[in-house]
Amino acid sequence: MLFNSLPFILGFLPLVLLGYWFLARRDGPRLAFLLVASLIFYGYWDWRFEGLLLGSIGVNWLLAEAYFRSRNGAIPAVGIVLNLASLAVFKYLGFFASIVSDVTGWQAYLPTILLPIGISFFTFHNIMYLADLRTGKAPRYRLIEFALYISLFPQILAGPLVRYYEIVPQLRLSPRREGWEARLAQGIALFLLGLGKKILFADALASHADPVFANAALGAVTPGEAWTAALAFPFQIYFDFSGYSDMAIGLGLMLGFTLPLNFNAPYRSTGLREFWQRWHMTLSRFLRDYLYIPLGGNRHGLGRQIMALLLTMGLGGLWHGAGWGFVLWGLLHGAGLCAGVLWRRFLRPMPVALGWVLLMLFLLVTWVLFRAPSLAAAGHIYAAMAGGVGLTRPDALRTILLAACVALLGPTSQEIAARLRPYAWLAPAAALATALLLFKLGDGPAYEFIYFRF
Amino acid sequence: MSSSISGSDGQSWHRLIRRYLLATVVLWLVLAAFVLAVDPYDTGRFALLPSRGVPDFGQRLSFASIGRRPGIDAAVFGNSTIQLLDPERLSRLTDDHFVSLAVPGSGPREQIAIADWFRRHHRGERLTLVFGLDSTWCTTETPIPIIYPFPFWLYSDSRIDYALGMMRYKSIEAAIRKIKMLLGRERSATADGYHDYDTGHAWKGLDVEAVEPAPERPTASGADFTAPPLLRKFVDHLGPETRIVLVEVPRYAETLPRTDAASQHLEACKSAYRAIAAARPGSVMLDFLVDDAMTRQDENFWDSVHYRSPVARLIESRIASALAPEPN
Repeated sequence: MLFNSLPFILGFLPLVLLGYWFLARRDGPRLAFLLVASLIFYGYWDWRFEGLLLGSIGVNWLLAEAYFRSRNGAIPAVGIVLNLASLAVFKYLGFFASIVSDVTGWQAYLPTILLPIGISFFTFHNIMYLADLRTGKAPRYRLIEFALYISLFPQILAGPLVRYYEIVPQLRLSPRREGWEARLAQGIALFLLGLGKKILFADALASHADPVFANAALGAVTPGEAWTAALAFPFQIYFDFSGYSDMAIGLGLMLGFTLPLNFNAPYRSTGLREFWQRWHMTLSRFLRDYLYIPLGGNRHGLGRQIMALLLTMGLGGLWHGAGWGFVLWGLLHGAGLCAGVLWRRFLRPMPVALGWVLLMLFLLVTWVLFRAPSLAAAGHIYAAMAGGVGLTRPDALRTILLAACVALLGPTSQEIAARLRPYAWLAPAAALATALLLFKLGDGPAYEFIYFRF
Repeated sequence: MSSSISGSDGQSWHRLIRRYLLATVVLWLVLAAFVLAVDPYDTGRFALLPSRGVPDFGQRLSFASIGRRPGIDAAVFGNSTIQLLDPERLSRLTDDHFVSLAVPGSGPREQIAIADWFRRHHRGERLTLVFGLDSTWCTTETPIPIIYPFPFWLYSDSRIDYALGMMRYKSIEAAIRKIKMLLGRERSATADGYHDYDTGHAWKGLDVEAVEPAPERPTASGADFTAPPLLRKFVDHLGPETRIVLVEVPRYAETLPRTDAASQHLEACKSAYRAIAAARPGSVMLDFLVDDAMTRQDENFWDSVHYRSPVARLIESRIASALAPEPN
């Protein structure tokens, strides 16, 4: 079920909110209701994956129970390997087989495996818990608490990547505790802002970028098409994913939970390190805490740090998708971060304006790799961009410029929601926006959120 | 963010949320009533404004209006492979009053939806329905593919489907355009639905190299095709006096099937439609999908499936002959 669909907004969400709030003061039934709702939400996409999700919850919880009984550190390690193995089978088997085939010429027969939606996210949730279990940081949870940590519907499909300690204690709080009215209002506001970002910006930009990337997979494109797609996609993915995150955080607030921030005006960054502190922030901190630091971080010399950065970002790229474009994208970001480390160590601080310009150029080039369906398609885009500068249509330029202004200058959704006060004019203004957005949703099949593919 | 939330003004927030929810429902209902009452596509359902045609919304959205116009009793259905047939000429050559309801890029399901809309708005009349049959009518796929989105809700028999389908932002834009049209600030769509892609356009020659030969097909029987049952079901609802003309539209001869299996496939498909026409008095199938002097001539085609005006004139005259009353 998409957040940006009428069945979700007019059916699922009101029913779940009513039920959840009706059971506000009864912890057990309330959490059971939320779990059932979350499982329905997940199964609505494809009920066949419900078994995978339930199996994942059951196996990981049983492993945690076994660990608490035996205190055997190998158990969480086995759990982490199992989670990675399941991700490898569902997401990377075809990619790995193609590498083997390219290298050895051996063609393995592989059944077609559908990618279960959200698997990258709920696998990471499991891994975070198991890894902290191993270091003695994670507490013991009841099955329903653990099941909700993994399957909570606002975050199961595309995050934010929440730490167990950020959400599980909140499950025990009544949604009707003090301040519920303001939380509910802020939740609605964030959901609307996210929906607006998705429909008005991300989908509008997608209509300019998507056809060009599809054509690039078939052959050459014109310079105008290539520049249009390359300039549109950075803002498309920002409004798409940050819009989704706003909606997820808003849904959390409607249920009485505070989910972590995921975006903080990333295109205002003046360097790549700052960009990753503002872009997909919950993934960044996962990569930092569970890959970069265990690999040595910055405490074991420059050589080790560079190796850790490259490996972390390369694997981070691979996490986004099974393809060389994602790996290369990750490695380039790793290399960019290494360049930043070396610059800061050996040279004077870079002027802020120059840093911003260099970052934007770097992102412009690397997002093409991320988005293009293949390296050859990315090559077609680059070749066309090198052949001249232009845009396909004036309306593409207008949409891109407007999106850029909002992304760079406008307040973030979080800032708007935090500044909200119960002014009387807000009700009709928000109602008009809601009614128009509902009509806008009726226009056609909703575009899927980009991060659902990862 | 939660740090900024305090319970001190809970009552104000509570009031705001209540008002927001109420205002959302009211505004949504107002917008819904607005688009239904304006009836931008001139369907005659829930309309409060006068019916005076529609702005040019494109064939998919304009044909609900044209299809229910009084005073017409004949229509051409199909896609761009039949749209060059001129309803005015057809009307002149026959005793009928034609409109063109051909939708480029459409297939059997869309065309039958429009034809059924036409039928429902001309009940009890003696109708003449011309269908252009192209390769989409010989599909064996289930369900029959739809290449471009089509507003089935607009042509639906159900007022609920229609009302739900209207709940989209494009309906608001369409309603505003309709009001502009009624105020004389926007032109209306052509009254007969005709779009001529040939006249006034310089023909630069048929790109023979771009012409692809017919794809290989397995041998098939009439039962393998999924579109004929759809047409048969539609025809069963027609009044006894209504005549249908099925036109196997011409293709450039080089794209006709060459292998035995592909030829047999095409013949089996044609037979299925020939049987439908034969079962109905006054109805006929005209087969232009053949290798002859006309389909072999480059000058007759823009591309392998889109013919030029002389071919359209020939088809029009053959239709008129087929519809002409037999001499006593």
